[in-house]
Amino acid sequence: MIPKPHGGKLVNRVVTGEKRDRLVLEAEELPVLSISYERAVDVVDIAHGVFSPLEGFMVQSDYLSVLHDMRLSNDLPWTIPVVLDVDPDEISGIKEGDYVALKHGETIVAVVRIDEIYGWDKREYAEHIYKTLDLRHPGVAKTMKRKELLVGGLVDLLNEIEYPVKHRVLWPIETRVLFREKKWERIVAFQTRNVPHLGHEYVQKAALTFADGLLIHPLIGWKKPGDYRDEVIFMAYEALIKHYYPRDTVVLAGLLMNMHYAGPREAVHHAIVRKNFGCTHIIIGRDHAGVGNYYAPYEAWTIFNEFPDLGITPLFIREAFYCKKCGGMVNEKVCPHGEEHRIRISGTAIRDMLRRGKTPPEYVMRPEVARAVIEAGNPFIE
Amino acid sequence: MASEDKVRVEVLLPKELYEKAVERGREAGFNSFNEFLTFLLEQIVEEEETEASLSPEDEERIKERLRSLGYID
Ligand SMILES: [Zn+2]
Repeated sequence: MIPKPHGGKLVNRVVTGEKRDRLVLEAEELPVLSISYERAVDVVDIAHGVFSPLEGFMVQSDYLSVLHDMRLSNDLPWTIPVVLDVDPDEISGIKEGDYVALKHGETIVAVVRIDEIYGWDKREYAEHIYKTLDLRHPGVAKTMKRKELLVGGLVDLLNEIEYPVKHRVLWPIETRVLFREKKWERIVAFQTRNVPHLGHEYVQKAALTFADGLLIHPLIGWKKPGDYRDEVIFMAYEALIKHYYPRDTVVLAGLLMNMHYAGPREAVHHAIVRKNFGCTHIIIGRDHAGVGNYYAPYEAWTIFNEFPDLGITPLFIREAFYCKKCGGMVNEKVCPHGEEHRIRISGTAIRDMLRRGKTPPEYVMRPEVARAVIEAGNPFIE
Repeated sequence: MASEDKVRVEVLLPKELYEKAVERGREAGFNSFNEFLTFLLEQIVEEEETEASLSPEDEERIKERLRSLGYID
């Protein structure tokens, strides 16, 4: 059964028709807050129900509750704050209850009703969300650069923003209708930012064995140099699905959402979001959304013990490797052989080979996938 | 969510089942049997409110986009 959205109701804050016409005119008269691309992505996610039940940026009670207890103030599980930061200067003269326009570049993206203006402790944020104050952690570095105050309030989306592979991005209401049309009841989500190697395929197929369908859900949006371009990830997956998956078992769709590298907390966040897309299960990696050595091994799994009321089931499938004795892809749970028989797949090594235009061995990557990546020309962000 | 209307009802349960359920709820991290029971009932009884609010026009518009992108035939 397709699960209810988190909190019971799918949020829709996308304004259309006459109401939009009226708000667009009104917005021109409103004070303007300039927002970054990442905050614009948050706005779009809120409006399209990706963050249901959030209808806007968090007020202080929700923010603090999420920070300390990993729940909204109404006790619903939530692990990553969704907050709008502002400079005291740009907000001077604006008081609670006022409406402001959120502008990214030249576009007025949304109107927000300011429900609360409050301060935050960015170090406290980093310690709770990233478990470190180390500025080499990409999330910490970003947090420390954010502005000094937060504003909470209801969002009304007026204009969509630009993003890659727009024609492959589906919103929660769309995947829900799609799953219903396909008559899928057990749907497993797979989060990724990579082109697929055989390890990914093994994990997905392990899950697909008992499910009706698989939602391969690459995260679209800001990437760092050296990451695969969004277009390339899609081309690679299209090749894999075409040659190696049964018809009508996979939906490949992009998810426009910010990446935080918040490890365990982000694993739960990813689960909640996929519940909103209508998934019943999500595959969680051992080091899901991790970076460096900031999180303990398996922490991304054990954190789920704290959320019996999540409403989506995490699948803890172990990393796959090739075992020469078993003669195929296996994992630690099913292969009794020693490390000397195992060939572990290294994402970095694959990247290096593809960069040089070389096809990785067949036990590492499907030749059709490698070809799609190599033929894409420049597969990486420069 | 805190403002939801609530009713008080009396239910008759087999003693052993009730005791097991209380224990299970506690183990799963629920603060009370009430909370555990509410969660279970929500899972079973309430479904698909979301799409109930979808008008036929909206539904057709969504399907049209899904068709045009090749997600459905
Ligand atoms: Zn083996």
